[in-house]
Amino acid sequence: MKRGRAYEEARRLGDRYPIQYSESDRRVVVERFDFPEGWDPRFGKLRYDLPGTYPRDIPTVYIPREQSYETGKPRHLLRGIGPSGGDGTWSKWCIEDHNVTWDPDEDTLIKLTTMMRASLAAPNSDNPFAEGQA
Amino acid sequence: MTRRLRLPAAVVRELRAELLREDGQERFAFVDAGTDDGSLLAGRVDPVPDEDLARQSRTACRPSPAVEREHVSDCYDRGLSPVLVHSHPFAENPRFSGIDVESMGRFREWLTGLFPDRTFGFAVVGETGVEAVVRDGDRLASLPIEVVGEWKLDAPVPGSTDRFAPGTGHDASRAAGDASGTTDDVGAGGGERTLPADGREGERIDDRFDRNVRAFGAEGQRRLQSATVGVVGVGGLGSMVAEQLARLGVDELVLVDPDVVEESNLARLVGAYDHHVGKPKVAAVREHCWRSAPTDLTVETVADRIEARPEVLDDCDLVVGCVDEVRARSFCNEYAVKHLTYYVDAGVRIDTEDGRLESMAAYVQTVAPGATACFDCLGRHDREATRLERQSAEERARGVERGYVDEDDLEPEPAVVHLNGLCASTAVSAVVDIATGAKRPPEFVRHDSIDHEMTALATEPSAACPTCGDDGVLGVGRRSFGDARFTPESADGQSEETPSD
Repeated sequence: MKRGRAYEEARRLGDRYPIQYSESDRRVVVERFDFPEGWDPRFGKLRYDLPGTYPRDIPTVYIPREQSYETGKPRHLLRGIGPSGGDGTWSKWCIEDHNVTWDPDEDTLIKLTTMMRASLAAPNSDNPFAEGQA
Repeated sequence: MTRRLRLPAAVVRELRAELLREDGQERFAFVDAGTDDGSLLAGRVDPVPDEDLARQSRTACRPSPAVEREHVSDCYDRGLSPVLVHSHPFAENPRFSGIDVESMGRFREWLTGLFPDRTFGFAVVGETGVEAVVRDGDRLASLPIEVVGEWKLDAPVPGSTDRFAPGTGHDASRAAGDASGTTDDVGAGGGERTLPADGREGERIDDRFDRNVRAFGAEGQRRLQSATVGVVGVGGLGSMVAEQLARLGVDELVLVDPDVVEESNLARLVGAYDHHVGKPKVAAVREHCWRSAPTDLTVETVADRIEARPEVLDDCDLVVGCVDEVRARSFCNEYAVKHLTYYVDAGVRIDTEDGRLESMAAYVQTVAPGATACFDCLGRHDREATRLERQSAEERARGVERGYVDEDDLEPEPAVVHLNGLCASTAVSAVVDIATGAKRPPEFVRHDSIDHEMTALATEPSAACPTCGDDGVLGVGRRSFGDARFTPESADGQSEETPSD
């Protein structure tokens, strides 16, 4: 790893999306993420807050507060729960609800973004990854 | 702290294995090192294959300039400093030869021309010994060798020092800043004894430590007294650890805990009484340490989470983790691995089923980074626990409502004072072993308090460990790469990478 794992993963993610990486805030923002069908607006940001224990723990994920889903609030979206520091422009997306087996040897921010796509595509499912494979 | 080349035992082993072979040829390796207060922290070893050497014989070796340039540049890109290591297979305890010195001087001029502000070092490895120098402005300065976890080596490195030797560790800088702050000041007015037996005539140790001295010697006591120990978490377990360290004579403690004393803590928190309720735990424990120890005990208190104030550990020779949160323990472990600092992880666990005691155990793990297993090598990081630890109270409550959090998981864990005592004493025993060098420290101990059985294991670091393994952060120190913006390939096919404001 040239500049630490999170930096290198953010750089690789930058091959596909515009990325803001903040070392001091331990934050990665995916700009212009193409939300799956059913979401409005279709392009928006994803925010990954990296825990002090990253990569051993999965980042905390937020989506913009204004994002809405066609059938109402999805079960994995926690409106009113935002990043610490009181930034009210974000809502937490509970990727952990899926009981993901995050493996620090294998999993990366790129994998997390793929997981987010599957999760947002089936936003009320408890196991969107298995459904996606069917 | 006196600057030095800090080498984990596994790095010494790897250098010996790679550079000292039966054919007697000199060989070469790069060691990527972090920097910490002027010291070099050795992490990854990258041996140069024989075919990449421009010159190799029984008396000389040097990589090709292209290999040298590529590695040095890559090392700086990663925020590390290169140490260029070659071997003298013919020497037990090698010294740089005249040819080495001349060659290193030319290299220094070349490299400082290219990277005027960067650090680098050279080392030579023999059958057992190691000699090192570091760039110091326009010259090369000798760099003492410290081996982390030296007890893991078959043959120790002769002449190596360690951070607990009086006058070489953090206490040296304190003494330099305060010439009067020596043991001569201890117990002014009497109560001192002179211990000339080990050639340190005139240096005195307070009478209160007489029984300690009889156990692990005057030198052991001096080494303990010279130590700065961080205790992260000063609840039921950490308060006992802090008290024992103070009574043993440790000169400087750094206590870290964000919590205030609650009534339910009083059954276990040593030194806390009713009037402490509502006050920071670190303040109560500091007061108790001061009552328990000589008047020159320094106690720094930090009423915050360790993740928010990691720099308070920078002056610690050793850190003891007594926290009940897995994420804080993992953080301490990672800090230790990055800075090649000794870490003793202590914890207890009590499991009950329908009100019946199922298991009751104390765990102590000694982490000598790059010499023993770290917390992660043994798979002790519990992701489910850290998930809950990271949630706010409101989020946990909503998790229960939504059916994703088991309410039982949010109940306080059982805790009892006598199990904490067992664990604290085992942890302090490990600290004493490391600091005094009197005996080999335990690497992993489990006390089963139901069957009254103790299991002790030796451990080894794992190459696959995400923290101290091949792709981990062993010895990287504190690096900073700043913020950045990345954008997908532009029209000319080039990925853009720009620093952001």
